[in-house]
Amino acid sequence: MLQLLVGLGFDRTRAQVQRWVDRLFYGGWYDYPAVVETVSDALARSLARAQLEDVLTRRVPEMMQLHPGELWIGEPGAVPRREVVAPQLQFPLFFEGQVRGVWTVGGRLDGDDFTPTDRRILHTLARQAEIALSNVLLVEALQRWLDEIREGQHQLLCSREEERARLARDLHDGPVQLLVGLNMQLGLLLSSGGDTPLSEELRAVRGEVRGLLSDLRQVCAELRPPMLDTLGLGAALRALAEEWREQHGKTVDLDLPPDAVLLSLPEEGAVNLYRVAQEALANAARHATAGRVGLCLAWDDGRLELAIEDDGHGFAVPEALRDLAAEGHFGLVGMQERVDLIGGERGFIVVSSLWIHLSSVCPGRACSIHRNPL
Amino acid sequence: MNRVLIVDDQPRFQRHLRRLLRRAGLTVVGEARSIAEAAGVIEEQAPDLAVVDVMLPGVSGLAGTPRLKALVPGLRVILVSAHRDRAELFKAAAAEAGAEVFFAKDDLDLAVVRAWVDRGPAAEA
Repeated sequence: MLQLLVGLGFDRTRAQVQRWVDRLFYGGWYDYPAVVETVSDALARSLARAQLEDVLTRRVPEMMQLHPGELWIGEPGAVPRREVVAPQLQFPLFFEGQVRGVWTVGGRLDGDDFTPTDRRILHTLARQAEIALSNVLLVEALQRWLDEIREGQHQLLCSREEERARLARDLHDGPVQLLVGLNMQLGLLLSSGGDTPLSEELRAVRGEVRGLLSDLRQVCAELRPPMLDTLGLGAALRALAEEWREQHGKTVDLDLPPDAVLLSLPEEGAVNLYRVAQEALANAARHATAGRVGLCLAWDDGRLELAIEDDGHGFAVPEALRDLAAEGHFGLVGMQERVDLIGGERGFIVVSSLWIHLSSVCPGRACSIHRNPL
Repeated sequence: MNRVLIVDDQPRFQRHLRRLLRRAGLTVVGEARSIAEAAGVIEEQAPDLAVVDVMLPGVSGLAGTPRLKALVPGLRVILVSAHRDRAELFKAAAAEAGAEVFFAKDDLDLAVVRAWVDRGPAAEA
C-alpha cells in the first residue's frame, strides 16, 4: 500500500517536474497584452494571403509558444473536412456570411491544455483575422476588377487599332484601287485620242479622279499610316516628322536607330509607339508654342527609349492625370493607356510642370518615352 | 526584254495594268497575287520584268524583291503602290531592296511603261 502511494506520488511529481523543464526550455508563459497588440497590428497591415498566413501560422505560434498552425483560404463550399486533433483548436473565418478561411492553431509547446485565457486571446485574434481576411479578399477582388478594366482598355485600344486598320485596308482595296484603275483608263484614252476638245474634258476628269484619290489616301493614312505596315516604324516616324514640319513650319530633329531594330518590334509595340509620338507632336503644336521639337528613338542594349522634347513653355500638370481627362483633355491619358498597354507591369507616366516622362516595356524590350523642354 | 509578270493581289488593278502593258507592246507572261505565287510563275516563265505591288498578303513587295531577283539573274523589278505620300521613302526602300524603281500606281501611263522598254534599267520615276 505504501509502495503504491509512493509510486503515485512519484508519478505526479515527475509530471510536474517535466512541465517545469518544458517551460524552462520551451517557455510556458507569454506576454498577453503584447501578443494581442502586436498581432492586431500585423493583422491590420495584412493585405495579401501570404502576409495573413505568416501572422497566423508563424508569428502567433512563436509569441504564444504554440506548435505551428495552418491557414486555409478558399471558395465557399470547398472548406476542407478535417478533424481537429486535441489539443489543436480550429476557427472558421467568415466573409460575407460564408466560411472563406479556416485557422487551425497548434497545441501548446509545453503540452498543457489551452487555458481559458489562451482560448479567449485566440478567439479575439480569430475575429481580427476574420477582418484581415475580409481585407485580403476585398483587395483581391479589387485587383481582379482593375485587371479586368485594364484588359478592357487593352481590348478597346487593340480593337480600335484593328478597326482603323481594317477600314484603311477596305478603302485601299476598294475605292482607291477603283480610282487608280479609272485614272489608268483615262490615261489610255488620252494617249490614244490625240488633242481634241474631248481630251480637254478627259484631262479635267482625270484631275478630279486624282484629287479624289489624294483625299482618300489622306483618310487611309490617318486611319493607319501605310508606312507602318510596309516600311516599318522608322519610316513611319520619318514621314510623321516631315508632315509635322510641313504643317507647322517648325524644326523637327529626328534621331532614329537602324530600321532593322525597329522592324523587330512587335506590331502592337510599333503601332502604340507611333501613336504616342503622334500625340506628343500634336500636343507640342497645339499647346507648347514650341519652335523646335526633338524626336529621338534610341536603342541601347535591349532598351528602346523614345524621347520627344520641345522648347515650349511647359504646362502645369495636375497630380493625377485623370484630372486632365475630367477637364476634357485626353491626350496624356491616352498616351498613358498606350504606354501601360505596351509596358505591362512597368508602364508608367510621371509628369511635372516642365516635363513628361513615360517608361514602358515592350514584350522582351524596355522602352521609355519622355518629353522635356530642350 | 518585254516579258512581264504582274504581282498584285488586286484583280482590278491587274486587269488595268495588263491592258496598259499590252498597249505599250509588252507581253504579260503571268499574274500572281503574292510573292510565293510569283516565285512559281518566274520559275516557269522566266520573265524579264516583274511589276510588284508593295502591299501584298504575306511577304511584302519590298521583302519579296530580293527573293524574286535571286530566282532569275537579271530580273528587273519595278515596285508600285497605291500610296504616293512620302514617295521618297518608298523609293529609297525600293532601291535598297534591289528594285529598279518605285512608282505610285496613278503615275503609271503609256509613256512611263514605254520608257521601261525604251530606256531599260535607267528608267526614272
